[in-house]
Amino acid sequence: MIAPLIASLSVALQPVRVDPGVELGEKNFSQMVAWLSPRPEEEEWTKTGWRATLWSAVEEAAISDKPVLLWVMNGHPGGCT
Amino acid sequence: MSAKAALEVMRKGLQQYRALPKSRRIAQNLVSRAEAQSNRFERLHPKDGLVLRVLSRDLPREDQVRGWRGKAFNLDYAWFTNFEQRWWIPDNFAPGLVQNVPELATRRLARLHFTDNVRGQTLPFSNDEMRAFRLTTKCLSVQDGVAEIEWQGWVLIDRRPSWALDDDRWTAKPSAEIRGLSLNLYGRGKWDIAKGRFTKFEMIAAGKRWGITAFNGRRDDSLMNPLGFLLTLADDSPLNQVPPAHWREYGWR
Repeated sequence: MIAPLIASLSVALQPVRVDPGVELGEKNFSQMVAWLSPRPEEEEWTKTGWRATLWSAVEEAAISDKPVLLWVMNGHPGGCT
Repeated sequence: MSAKAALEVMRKGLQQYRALPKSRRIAQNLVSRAEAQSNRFERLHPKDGLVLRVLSRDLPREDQVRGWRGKAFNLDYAWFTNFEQRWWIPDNFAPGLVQNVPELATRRLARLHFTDNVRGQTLPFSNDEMRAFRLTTKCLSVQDGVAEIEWQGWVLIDRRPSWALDDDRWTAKPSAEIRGLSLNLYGRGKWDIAKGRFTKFEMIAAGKRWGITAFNGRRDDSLMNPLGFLLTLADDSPLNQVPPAHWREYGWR
């Protein structure tokens, strides 16, 4: 009686593969890359000379006599928004 | 803030900056960058390793969402050290030889970077939530010292509901956070054998996602729908030295 129960439990715990609905391969790779790639207007913000850290900007500003623009938001410290 | 208002703030700031005497414009007695960044993850940027730009966005669907939500995309960076970048190439370059990508590489990408951040910020997945995966690397050819590499695979990540205890342990309630992704993966890259580095890396992960997190903006879109990720080589520009969103999970010191 226990064996079938264990067997049915182990089946229930197997990951159920969800069909991703998208086949990927050489044939549609370029098309998919094109769809996912940023459009030119989506890259406009990269033209600003951002620095990844405040301090590298502070050092550069001190040398070149330029102000620092600090763009701040509250949210994830990784800034992924 | 509108772009116009932001521009006005910057104009005013610049005027005020120019009106200051130089002694007040220039920061004095700066501590060194190493000192200022001693506990920041940026100092671990793997300049001699592999840095991937990970772009996420929804794929086309029948009930295309209107407004910014339908056009949203997000960026993240995936880091691999000089040693770790070799996880992506086979042990030898015999054309046609298929080999598994080490589990650590697949887990890093899937748990930390294949997250639904298209509309906002979200959380990584745990190791347990990676239900099944397979990712292989294969050398297609070698020409002029450059190996052409192909990656193929899939991942299934599935976070199930769990019983969470509040501060008042008598009111235990189920966690509402049910989410996951089922993705196929395909990519092509070029590895310079002599220099020991990638000169090209393009990978797509595409499939379905479902569920929500507190701040990922999917409350009106929590059912199974398509999304994709594009991973490409990032150059060394300062912009591309932003650490991975979930860098704490990397375990680097």
